[in-house]
Amino acid sequence: MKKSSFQRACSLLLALVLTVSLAACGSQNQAGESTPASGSPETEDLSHTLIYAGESESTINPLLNSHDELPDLIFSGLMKYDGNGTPVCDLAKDYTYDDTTFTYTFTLRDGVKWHDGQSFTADDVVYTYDLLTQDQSLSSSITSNYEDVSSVTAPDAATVVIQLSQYNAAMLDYFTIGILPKHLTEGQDINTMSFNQTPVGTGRYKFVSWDTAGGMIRLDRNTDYYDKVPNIEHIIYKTVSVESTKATMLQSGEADLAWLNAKYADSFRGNDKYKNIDFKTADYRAISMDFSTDFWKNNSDSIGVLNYAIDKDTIVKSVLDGRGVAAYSPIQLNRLGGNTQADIYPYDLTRFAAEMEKLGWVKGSDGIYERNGEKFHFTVQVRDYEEERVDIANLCASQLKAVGVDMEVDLVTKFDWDAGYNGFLSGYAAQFDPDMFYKNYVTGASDNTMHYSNPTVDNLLSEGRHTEGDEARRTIYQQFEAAYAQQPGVVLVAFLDGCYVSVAGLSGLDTTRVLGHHAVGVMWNIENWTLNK
Amino acid sequence: MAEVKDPRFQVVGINWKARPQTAAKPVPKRRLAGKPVFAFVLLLAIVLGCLFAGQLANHDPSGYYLQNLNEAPDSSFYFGTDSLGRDIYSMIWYGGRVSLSIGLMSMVIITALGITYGCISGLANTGVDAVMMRIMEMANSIPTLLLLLLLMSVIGKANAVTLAAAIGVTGWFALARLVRSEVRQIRNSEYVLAARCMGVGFGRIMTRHLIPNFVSSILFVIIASISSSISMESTLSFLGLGLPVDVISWGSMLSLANRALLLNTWWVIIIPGVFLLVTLNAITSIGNAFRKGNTKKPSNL
Repeated sequence: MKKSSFQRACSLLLALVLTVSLAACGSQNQAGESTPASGSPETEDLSHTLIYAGESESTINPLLNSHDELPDLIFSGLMKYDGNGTPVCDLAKDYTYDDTTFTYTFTLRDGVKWHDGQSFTADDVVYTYDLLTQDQSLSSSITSNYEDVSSVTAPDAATVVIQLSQYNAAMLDYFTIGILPKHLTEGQDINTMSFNQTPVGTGRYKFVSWDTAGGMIRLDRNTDYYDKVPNIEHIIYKTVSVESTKATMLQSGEADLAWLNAKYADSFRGNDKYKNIDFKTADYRAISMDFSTDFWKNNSDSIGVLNYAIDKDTIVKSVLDGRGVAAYSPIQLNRLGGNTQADIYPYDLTRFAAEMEKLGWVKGSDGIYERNGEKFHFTVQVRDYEEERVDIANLCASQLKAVGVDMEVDLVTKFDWDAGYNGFLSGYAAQFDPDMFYKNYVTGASDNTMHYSNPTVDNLLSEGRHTEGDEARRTIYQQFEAAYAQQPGVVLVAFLDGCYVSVAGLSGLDTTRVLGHHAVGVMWNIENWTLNK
Repeated sequence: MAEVKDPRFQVVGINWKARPQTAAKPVPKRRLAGKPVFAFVLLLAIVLGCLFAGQLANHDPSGYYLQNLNEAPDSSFYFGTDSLGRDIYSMIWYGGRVSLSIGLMSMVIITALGITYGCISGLANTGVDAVMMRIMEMANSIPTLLLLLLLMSVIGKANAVTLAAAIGVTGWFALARLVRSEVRQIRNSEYVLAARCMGVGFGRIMTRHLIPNFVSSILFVIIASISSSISMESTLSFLGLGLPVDVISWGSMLSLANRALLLNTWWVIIIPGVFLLVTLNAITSIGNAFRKGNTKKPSNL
């Protein structure tokens, strides 16, 4: 009797739980149906919307991510680059330069509004440059670009005076940095503030919303923009990193434009429904060695020699489908670089063996070189979704293995800088001034994450930055190329072409611009693009 | 009865005819009837191919033949090459070694865990048995793939052994339940009771008295676990969560399928897929034959 009443209680309880949970389901469904389908793709008219499949994003802040497309759309700077990569006025109406005091005086445009309606003033500019030059807590890779700025002041709301401590050839380039709104970000931790996910700028497009679960960032054109208002009304930026996914999205019509690796881009060639737009980029792929790890502390003399053993031309032909060029210098495609004297490492295996012997490496019983009881074995991390980089790394590893160098390729989903990897398959670009590499190669500079240090390189890059005149600078940068080739920190493999693929209805993309890392900068003239789908 | 050879005798009888003796031995053919001979031959061929991969392969399975990218099957690359010029034919045999050994290793783990857990649960008293079964059912209610993904993320870098271990650890629940119900049926048999009365340990009871009695009825599940483990490995590798791409297995070869689909190189997808399919089907039909043989037995009684 007792047991049966217990059973009855149990079944009652069960029934109750079921009913409640069903009811909960029901009400949830109702709630789901009753909300207006604002974001549902079935009802949305996408004919005026450009869907771009881009890299994954976590922040949109010009100070923090310097090689992404979105900061350039949402923010704008005192200057901007034109199609040839020359800085021209943007938020500044004009500027004067006094070469005795190294002072730039900018007159700002009138009536520029932030996307939230507030007026843009000189205070915002002073605030942004103060962050870049004085804020010690800012962890940004570009602060080395502003080392020469000694003071930034605003005599009135429409004038900004920036004084340098010495001449800096690339300073106008760096004045292209996007300006942050002081009234929304002051006093917050720039690295982690929520503004980075809800940015407000002065640029051509306004940030609308960020669906982090679905990986979609929505932008609307800024109809109050101070210059030409873009033709395309909306942009949906889909955050996808996996190269094959981007290609599949283009095929299935889920994206209108994407940067693809050379092989995937080739599969769209000759198809009437798509356009292939091939840019030149200054983006190189290399094996970057981490000099803070013990292996390279002990063996930094044995990096250059690896170049002899890597058949770069074949890698370009196979992985890049010929859309790229073998690399010998980080600035070889730059207007001030390209010193062929720095191309000192032909693909030559006998030379490799001879040089290794000179360096004191002896092959062990397993066929791997050894020196001072240490094997020539180092680890390199590569993000597994970057198929092109994985392929390049695997080919380099197999070519090195064949000659007795054990490069271990470790695929990771996210770069782990603390795990003790001896290096990573890197990509960098100096698409504008060669001084863009100052921050990468000078000892202790803001983007020198691999801790490369070479006094000759330090001197030459500093000299290049502070010398006037293209001819004089070209000489210096070519010396840099030669000096760097002697004692490199990276094994350069190839420069890539920037292969974009779009739907046939998109036009206006202009390939005069040399693109940067991850083929960034494609949207430099987006205001002139038209979309017809 | 021995035939009478003596010429003084002759066989007489109504309608007697000299029936010619059936010359060939009918025994093997009859024994093979209904057995999956074809599946067995296919599986044997594949297993032998994998064992003698070194002799069969005509290229280096991990070599990149950069002059021969995306080549369709031809006389040099029998199954074609992928986008980095790797020879699919050589990769199949070496990859099969990894896939098959993962299947076998997982099977061993599944069998060991499943039988031990099932025997303990089956021999234990009702309370312990109920608790053990509920724990197992709870674990079983979580989708295996999810459990595996969790395990793989804990393990971090997978290799063939850790992957097999992970697949094994998440795959033994069904077997344990089957073993437990079999043990429940025979636990009160006199020989088990006698052994227990004499103080024979659990291990000996299990190996000497229990396993021999239920092995035939769980053989099907054990064999099937090989194929399910192989397909699990492929699933994980296809998702990019199993073996690293540089370890060649049928699964990691299939993980290139996405790329091959975009590049229109069908052989990169179809060939490992066919091998996987044939192997899995062969194993399943062999397992099925064991099950049929087993279910026939009681009907003979």
